[in-house]
Amino acid sequence: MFRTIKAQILLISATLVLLLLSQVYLSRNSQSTFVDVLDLTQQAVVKVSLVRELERDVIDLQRNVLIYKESASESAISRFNLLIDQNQNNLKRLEDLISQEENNALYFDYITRMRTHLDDYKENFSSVIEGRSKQQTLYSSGLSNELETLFNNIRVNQNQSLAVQDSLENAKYHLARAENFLLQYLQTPEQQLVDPFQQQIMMAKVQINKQLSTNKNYQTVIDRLNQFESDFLQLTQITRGYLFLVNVVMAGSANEFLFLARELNKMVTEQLIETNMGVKLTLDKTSISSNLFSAVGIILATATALFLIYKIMLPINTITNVFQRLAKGKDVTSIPSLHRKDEIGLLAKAADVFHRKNKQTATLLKQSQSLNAQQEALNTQLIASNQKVEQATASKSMFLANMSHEIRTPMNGIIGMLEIVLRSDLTPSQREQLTKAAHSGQILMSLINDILDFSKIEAGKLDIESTEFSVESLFANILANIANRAQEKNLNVRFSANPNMPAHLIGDPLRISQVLINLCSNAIKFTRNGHVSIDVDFKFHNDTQLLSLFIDVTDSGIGMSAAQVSKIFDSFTQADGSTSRNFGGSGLGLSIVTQLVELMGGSVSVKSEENKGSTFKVELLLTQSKNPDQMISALPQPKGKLYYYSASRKGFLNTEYIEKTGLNYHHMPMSQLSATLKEIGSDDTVLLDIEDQGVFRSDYESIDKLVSNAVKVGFITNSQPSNLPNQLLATWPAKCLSHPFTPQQAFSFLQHLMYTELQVKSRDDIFTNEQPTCHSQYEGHVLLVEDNSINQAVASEMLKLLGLTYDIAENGYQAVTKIVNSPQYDLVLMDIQMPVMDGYEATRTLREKGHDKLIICGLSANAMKQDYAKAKEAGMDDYIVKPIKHKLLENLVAKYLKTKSV
Amino acid sequence: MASINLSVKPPTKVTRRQALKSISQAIVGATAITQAPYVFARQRTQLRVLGTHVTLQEQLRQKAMEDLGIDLIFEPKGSAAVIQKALVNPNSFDLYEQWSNSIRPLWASGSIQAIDKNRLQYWDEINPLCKTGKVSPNASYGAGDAPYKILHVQPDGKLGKTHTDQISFLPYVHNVDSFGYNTNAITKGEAYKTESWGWLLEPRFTGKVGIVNAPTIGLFDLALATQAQGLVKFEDIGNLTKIDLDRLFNVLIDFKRQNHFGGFWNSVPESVDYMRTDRVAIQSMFSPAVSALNGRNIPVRFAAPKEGYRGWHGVMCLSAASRGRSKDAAYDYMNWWLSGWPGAFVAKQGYYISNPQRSTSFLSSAEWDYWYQGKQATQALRGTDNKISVLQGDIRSGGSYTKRFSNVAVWNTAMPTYDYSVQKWYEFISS
Repeated sequence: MFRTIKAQILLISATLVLLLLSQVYLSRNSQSTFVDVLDLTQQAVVKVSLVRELERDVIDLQRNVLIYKESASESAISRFNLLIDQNQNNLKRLEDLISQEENNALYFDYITRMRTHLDDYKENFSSVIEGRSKQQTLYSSGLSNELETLFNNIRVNQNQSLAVQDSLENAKYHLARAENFLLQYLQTPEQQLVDPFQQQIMMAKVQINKQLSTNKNYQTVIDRLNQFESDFLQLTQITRGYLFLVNVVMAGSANEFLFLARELNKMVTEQLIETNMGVKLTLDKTSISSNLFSAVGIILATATALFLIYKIMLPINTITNVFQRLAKGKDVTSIPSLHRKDEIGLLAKAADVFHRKNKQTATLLKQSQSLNAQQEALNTQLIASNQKVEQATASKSMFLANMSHEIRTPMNGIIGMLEIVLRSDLTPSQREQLTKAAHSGQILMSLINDILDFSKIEAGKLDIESTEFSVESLFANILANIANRAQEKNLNVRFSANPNMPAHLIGDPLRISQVLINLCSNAIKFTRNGHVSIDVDFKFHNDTQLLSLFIDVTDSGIGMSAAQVSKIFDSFTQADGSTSRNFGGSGLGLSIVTQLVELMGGSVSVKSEENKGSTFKVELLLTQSKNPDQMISALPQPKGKLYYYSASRKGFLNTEYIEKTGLNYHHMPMSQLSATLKEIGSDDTVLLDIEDQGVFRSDYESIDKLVSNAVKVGFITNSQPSNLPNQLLATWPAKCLSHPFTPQQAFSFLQHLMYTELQVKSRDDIFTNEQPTCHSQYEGHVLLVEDNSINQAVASEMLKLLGLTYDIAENGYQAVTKIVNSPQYDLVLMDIQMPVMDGYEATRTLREKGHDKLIICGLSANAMKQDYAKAKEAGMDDYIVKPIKHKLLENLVAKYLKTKSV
Repeated sequence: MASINLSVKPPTKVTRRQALKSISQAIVGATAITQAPYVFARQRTQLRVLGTHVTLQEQLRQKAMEDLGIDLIFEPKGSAAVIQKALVNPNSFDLYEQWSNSIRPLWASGSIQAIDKNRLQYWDEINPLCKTGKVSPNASYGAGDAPYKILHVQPDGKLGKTHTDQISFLPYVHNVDSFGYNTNAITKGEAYKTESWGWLLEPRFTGKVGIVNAPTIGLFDLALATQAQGLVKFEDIGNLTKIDLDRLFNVLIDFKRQNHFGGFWNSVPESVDYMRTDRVAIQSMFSPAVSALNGRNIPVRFAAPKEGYRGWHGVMCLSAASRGRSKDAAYDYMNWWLSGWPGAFVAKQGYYISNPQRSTSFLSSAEWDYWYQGKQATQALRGTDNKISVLQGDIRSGGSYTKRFSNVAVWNTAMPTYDYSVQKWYEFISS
C-alpha cells in the first residue's frame, strides 16, 4: 500500500511529525512532572516539619501541665493555651495540605484522632485547673482558718483544774498532729494519710467531749472539728480527682497523641523519600526516551533527504527531458523508469503513451480531415431540409390562421345578421328557431376562436400583454360571462375573493379572463346540478414587485378518475371519449388554458374525484401596481349596530368582507332571529341569509316586525332560486344581494344598505351582474369603410338600428376620395385590411390632408396590442374589434355622437 | 468493665431535660397570652441517673419510662468524671451507677445513703456472688474488694460482710474481663490451661501488646502478668503495698523502655482500632470490643486465663440527697432493673445480672444456653442492635457463668495505695 511516492512521503512526514509531537509531549510532561514533584517535595518537607512541631508542642504541653500541678502557676496556664492553639493550627495546616492529596483517608483518620485527643487534653486540663484551684481555696480560706480558730477556742488558762488543763493540752496536741498529717497530705497526697488524720481528730474530739458536761461552749469546738474533718476529706477527693486526670487520663491522651504523631512522621518521611525516588526515576526515564527520540529523528530526516534525491528528484529530471523532447515533436528512442511502479513509473508510462499517441494523432488527423468534408456536405443538406420543414409548419399554421380568419368573416356576417333579425318583430316560433341558429353560430365562432388561438400559440405568435387593469372589472366581466350559462342550468355560482387584494394589478386581463372563463365554462358544462365556486386569493412576494394570484374553480360535477386527470391537459383530449358525446366541446379549452397560464409564468393543476367534482387551481404571476387601493375600503361607523343572521357559521356573505369595511357586527345563527329581535333598534341594520322560499316563509313574521320597526334590512341569496330576490323586494322595502358577486359589489351593497342617504344612482335594489340594456337613437352620418360585403351588410344594419345614416366605401382609396369630396361625415368606421389602400394608410392620408377633427375608428379582426398601437400611430381615434357587436358599436357611438332628441 | 475514663462525650443533641424545660417555658408563655391553656402537662416524677454508657443506654431508658411512667434523665459521663461529680455534688443526681471500686470513697464521703433491703422486691432471688462471695462451693473469692465484702452497712457505719437490712449498693450488672488476642497472629490457646496473663509480657509479642490506660484495671492485668511470668511475687494482689508497687513498676518500666507495649488505649473504640489496624496482637480487653472485632471478621479470642479473671461488679447507689417521690421512683427503678427484661437485655450484650433466673423467660433457650450456660450456640444470635453477634456453633470462652465466676483472680479495687499507684502509673506510661 506504500507503493506510491505520495504515500511514502506522507508516511515519512507523519512519522517525523509524530516524533516531534512525542518529543514535545515528553518534554512538557517531564517539565510538569518536575514542577509537580517540586511541589510535592516542598509539601512533604512542610508536612514533616509540621508533624515534628506537633510532637515537640505536646511534650511542651505535658511539661506545663506538670508545672501547673506542682505550682498552680498562672503562666503555665497561658503557655498551655498558647501551645494548644498552636497545635490546633498546625493540625489544621496539616489537614489542608493533606486534603490536596489522594489516598489521604489514613492521614485524616490520624489527624482526627489526634485532634480528639488534643480536645480531650484541653478539656481535662480545665478540670484540673478547677480542681487545683478548689483545693487551694479549700486549704487557704477553709482549713487553715478553721485550724487557727480551733487553736484559739481551745484556750488553756491557769484557772482551770489540772485535769481540764491536761485534757485541753491533749486535744491541742492531737489537733497539731492532725495538722501535721494535713500538711503531709498536701506535700504527698496519699490516701494512707487520711486514716491517721481522722484518728487524731477523733482523739481530739474525745478530749473535748470530756469537758462538754461542764462547759456547753465546747459544742462549737466539736462542730468545728467535724467541719475541719469533712473539709479535709473533700480536699482529698478533689486532689485525687485532678491527680487522676493528670497522671492517667491526660498522660494517656498525650501518649497516644505522640504515638500518632510519630506514626504520621514515619508516613510523611516515607512519602518524601518515595517522592524523591519517583522524581529521579521519572527524570531518568524522560531523558533516556528524549535522547532516543532525537536519535531516531535525525536518522529519519537524513533518510528522507536521501530518498527524495535518489528516488524522486533525479528520475523526475530525466522524465522532464523526455517530455520536453516529445512536446517539441522530436522522436524518443527509449523512455527510462518504465519498470517502476510508483508515480515516476506512471509518469514514464504517460510519456510512453504520449509518445505512441503522437504517432497515432498524425494518422488520425488525415482521417478526420476527409470525414470533415463529408460532414459538411451532410450539414448543408440538413439545413436545407430543416428549412423546408419549418416552412411547411409555418405555412400550415398560417393556413390554419388564414382559414379561421376566412371562416370568421362569413360567420360574423351570419351572427351579426341573426342579431339584427332577432331585434325585429318575429313570431315566437321564428324567434325560437333564429335564437337556436344564433346560438349555433356562437358555438361555431368560439370553436373557430379556439382554433385560431391554438394555432397562434403553436406558431409562437401569441403575446402576453402587460397593462394595468382593474381587478374588479376583471371579476365582474368573468361573472357576467358565466352567470347566464349557470342560470340556464340552474346552478349556484359562488364567488369569493380575499378582500385585501389590491384593486389594480399589472398583467394581461384579456388572457386571464380567457383562462378563467374557460375553466368556469368547463365547470358549468360538466355539472348537472349543484354549484360552481370561484375562490381568489393572492400572495405578495416580498422584495419584488411580483404577486401570485391563486384562483380555485370548484364544481360539484362529474369529476374525473386519476387516469383521466393525467391526460386532461393534453391537446384535443377530453377526459373520456364519451364526454364529447355527452357534453360536447373540442377538447382544446384546457390545452389553451395550460399554454396561456404557462405563457403568463403560472401553473395550473387539478384535483378531482369521480362523481364528486373537480377543483382547478391556477396560479398566476402578476406585477403589483403602484396604485395602493384595495378592493374594499373602510366604511365610517354608523349609528346603529349590524346584525348578520345565517344558517351556519359560514354564511352567504364572506364575513371577511364585513371585517374589511371595519364595521362592528354581530354574527348570529338564523334560529336566534326571533329570540334576539328585541335587542335590535331602529338605528340598527340587519343582514339575513335567505336560502329559499321556505326560509322566507318561516322567518316572515320576524322580518316583517323588523321592517315595521324601521330597521334597515338587507337580504343575501344564492344564485338559485333566481326569482327569490324579486319576491323578497316585492314584499318589503329592502335591498338584496345575490350570488355571485364581487367584493366591490358586496361593499357597495353594504354601503347603500347602511347609509341610506347615499342611495342615489342604483337602478334598482337588486345587485346583480346584468348589464343595463337600452335602445337609444343617435344623430349622425357615418362612413363605413369595409371591403367585405357581408360585413358591410351587418354593420349597415346595426347603424340603422342606432338611427344613423351612412355611406359605404369599398376600400381606403374610395374612402379618402369620398371624404375629400364631401367632408360631412361625423364618424368613419375604417377597416384595417383592405385591397387597394389599407385602413392605416387611408387614415394617414386623411390626416395629412387636414382632416384632423374627423373621428376615425379602426375595425380589425386582430385584437392584438401592436394593432392598437399601430392604429393610434396612424392617427385613429378609437378602435373596435370585429365581429362588430351591437353593444360595442353602441358604446362607441354613444361616446362620440349625440342622442336623438325624442 | 471497671473504673476507666471511657471517653464518652455527653450527647450534643438537646437532652430531654432541656427539651422539657423549653417546652414548659413555651407553655407558660402561651398561657400568658391566651389565658386559656389547652395543654396541661401531666406531673411526672423525674429520676436523674448519673453513670456510664455501659448501663445508661437509650433503649433501657425508653423501656423504663414506659414501664414505670416516670421521666428518666440519664447523664452518662466518663468514669473519672462520674465519681468526681458524685463526690462533690450529691444533689445533682438520684441514682449513681458505676463499679464496685468506687463504693469505698463514695461511702466515706457520705455522698450516698444506705438502701433499705426490705424495699427490694427481688432481694431473695439475688445469687450468692454478693451474699456469700461464692457462686459455687469450689469458687475462689478473688483478691481485692470482692463485692460481698463491701455490700452491707455494719452497725458502726462501716461496710462489711455481715448481713444487715442496709446495703450500700444494689447488685445488678457484672462480668469478668481478661485479655483478647488475634488468632491470626497468636496460636489459639486452651481455656484455663495454656491461656495465661503471662502472655502480656511474652518477649515474642514485643511491640504488639496493648494495655488499658487505667491504674485500677491495667495495673491488675500487669500485676497478674508479672506474677504469671514469675518476675514478681505478691503477698496479696488485691492490696499491693508501696514496695510491691515499686517492684512491679521497676519491671514494667524496663519492658516499656524495650518498646514492649504497642499502646495504652483510652476507650473501647480505641482498643478496637488497635486490634483492627494490627497495632497490637494481644491486649487488655472488654467484651464489647471483642464482639465488635468478631463482627468485622477479625478472629479475636477473649482468653480464659488459667490464673483466673479480673472481675468487676456494677453498683447502683442512692444519692444521699434523694428523698420523697424521687426516692420512691429510685426504688421503683432498682426493682425494675431486677424484673427480668433488663437482665435479658444486657445478657445479649454479654453482661450478667444478679438474679438471672428472672430473665430466662425473656431469653430464648439458645440465648440462655449460650450466654449463661456456656454451651455451643445452636443458632445465630442477635445483639440488642439486632445484628448477628454470635454465629451458630460459637462457644463463649471461659464457659458458663458459674465456671467463669468461680475463676476470679482479682476484683477491680481502689487499693489504699491507690494514690501512689496513680503516680507510678504516670511514670510508667510516660517513660
